[in-house]
Amino acid sequence: MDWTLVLTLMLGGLAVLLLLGLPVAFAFLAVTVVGAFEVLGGERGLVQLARNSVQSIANFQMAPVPLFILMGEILFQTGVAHRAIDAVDRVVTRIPGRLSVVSVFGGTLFAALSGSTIANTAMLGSTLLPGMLKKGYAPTIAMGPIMASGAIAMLIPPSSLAVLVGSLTGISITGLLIAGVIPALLLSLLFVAWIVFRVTTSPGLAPADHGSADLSLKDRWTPFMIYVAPLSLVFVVVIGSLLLGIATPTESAALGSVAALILGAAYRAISWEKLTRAALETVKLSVMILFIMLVSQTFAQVLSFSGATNGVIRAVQSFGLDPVGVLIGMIVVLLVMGCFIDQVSMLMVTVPIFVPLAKAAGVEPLVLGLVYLLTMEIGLLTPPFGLILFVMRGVAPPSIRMSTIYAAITPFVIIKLLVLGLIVWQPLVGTWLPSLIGR
Amino acid sequence: MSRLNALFDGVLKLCAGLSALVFVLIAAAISVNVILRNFGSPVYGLLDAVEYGLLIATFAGAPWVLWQRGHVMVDLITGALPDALAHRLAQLTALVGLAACAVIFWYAVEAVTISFKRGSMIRTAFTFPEWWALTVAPVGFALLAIEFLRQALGQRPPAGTEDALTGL
Repeated sequence: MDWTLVLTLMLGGLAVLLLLGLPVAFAFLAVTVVGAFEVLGGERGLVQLARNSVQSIANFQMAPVPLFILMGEILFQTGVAHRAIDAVDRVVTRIPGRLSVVSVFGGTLFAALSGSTIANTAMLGSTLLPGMLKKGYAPTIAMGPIMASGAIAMLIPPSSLAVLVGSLTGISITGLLIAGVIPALLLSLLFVAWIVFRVTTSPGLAPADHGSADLSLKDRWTPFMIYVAPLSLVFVVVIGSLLLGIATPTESAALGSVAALILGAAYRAISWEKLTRAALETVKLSVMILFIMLVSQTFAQVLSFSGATNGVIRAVQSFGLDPVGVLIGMIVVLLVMGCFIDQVSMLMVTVPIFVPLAKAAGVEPLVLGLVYLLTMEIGLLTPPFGLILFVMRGVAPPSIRMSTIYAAITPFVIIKLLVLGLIVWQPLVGTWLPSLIGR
Repeated sequence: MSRLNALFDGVLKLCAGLSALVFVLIAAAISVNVILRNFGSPVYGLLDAVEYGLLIATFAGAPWVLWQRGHVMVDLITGALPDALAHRLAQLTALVGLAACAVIFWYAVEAVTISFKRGSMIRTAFTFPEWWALTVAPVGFALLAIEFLRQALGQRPPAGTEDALTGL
């Protein structure tokens, strides 16, 4: 069969099954069953698919995925993360758009405790949004920063999606986990700068709000020292061990779970019930991801054996593009996909083609990995179907319209696109920190 | 029929518990190993054990996650449909899932049989017949096929799964 036909049928069939509402894992499974039969030699191809499914999962590289999720779940279920918000609120004073800035700081802090953008946004939204609206913050300046900083969780370790990107693309997982840190911090700074600028130029967006400025220095900082400072144990264990090169991503993730457990115990917030819930939520999220991975190997083989992978690469090369041109093309494809489908599907469909293409074009692997993470993050935020927009819809009062949520996120999506552009233009923004690993 | 259903619910819950236990054990074992490694005597075969742990946890957990409607899906269309129509469509897509799982189940059994006849062995830190590891797949796909069958017959999701805010 001609490769364009195979590619069209596989992707078309996938699109139809996804739109009908078949869970992503089984939509991939169904098209891969047909593809393996057609391209990999009939029944032999299907036996191969069954064998590959076992091999793809029994893979040590995947181990950080459940462990990072477990770590985040322990911190969330024990409420350790929630208490930190109040403490951050007390120390941020006298800045225009104060609570919006608190949500950016809170979101960045939680990003280093959990890899779940959904949980991050839901928690920030439910704890901060009601108070902000009551105090007279405009809905756009209240919701935008919550969604934008909630999504940062994908860039900072513990990020399960970074592990997935690394493992599927063959990019160093440690390198990719560390590479996201500086772009994430840069994003937070730019969010704060934008909030301050907006509120200063249109003071009607947020009330004058000095927060706890009247309290004594001790009253303001004591909760911070009790509820936020100890969380640095988690950063030191997870990010520090990776950066020093003394732990593999799996070890850093396992130690992170233990650190989370120790913190929970120190706050006397551990109960059998909470731990059970954390473990079961871990099963739900991890299995969901790992089960999609089980067809990844065969899906890529089908595309490769049909000639589709090489076909696309030759077609792109005939344009004579340089690495930047190729990257921009990939970014456009990923951004468009991100408007409609979920993050893991974006990876599964594009990795078999983009990775060899990037290699042929001479694209720096870490830059490709960061492009994946940032475009997936933006995909969570772009209308009409960005998942985080709907999480916000779920926690916001019913009077808020979807169009207001779209308007709230727009400037922050633009900031993320600017940072993405910066990484393509100056790759050092992403590659500098990983270059220090183990020195 | 309702007793069979309750029995199967129980099996799925048991599998989920197994999956949770494996993930927690992996976290504990690797942490202990970091310490032991620094004293020069890491746990023998831990890497391989973790790989088989991931295999078992994934296949054991997947049917429960399917029952709990925890597998990520795209609800562009289904979310906009009236409830009754969405339920019908879900029954139809469950049939597609059933077909895919049934086919894979069949060929996964085939893969086990071939490996058994050849007497292929896995030789890593542990040495054992390859068909032991391969058997996890048909068991998992069989449970998934049964769960899809229940959904195709119109069984609604268990309570409390409709509006859970979980995900990555």
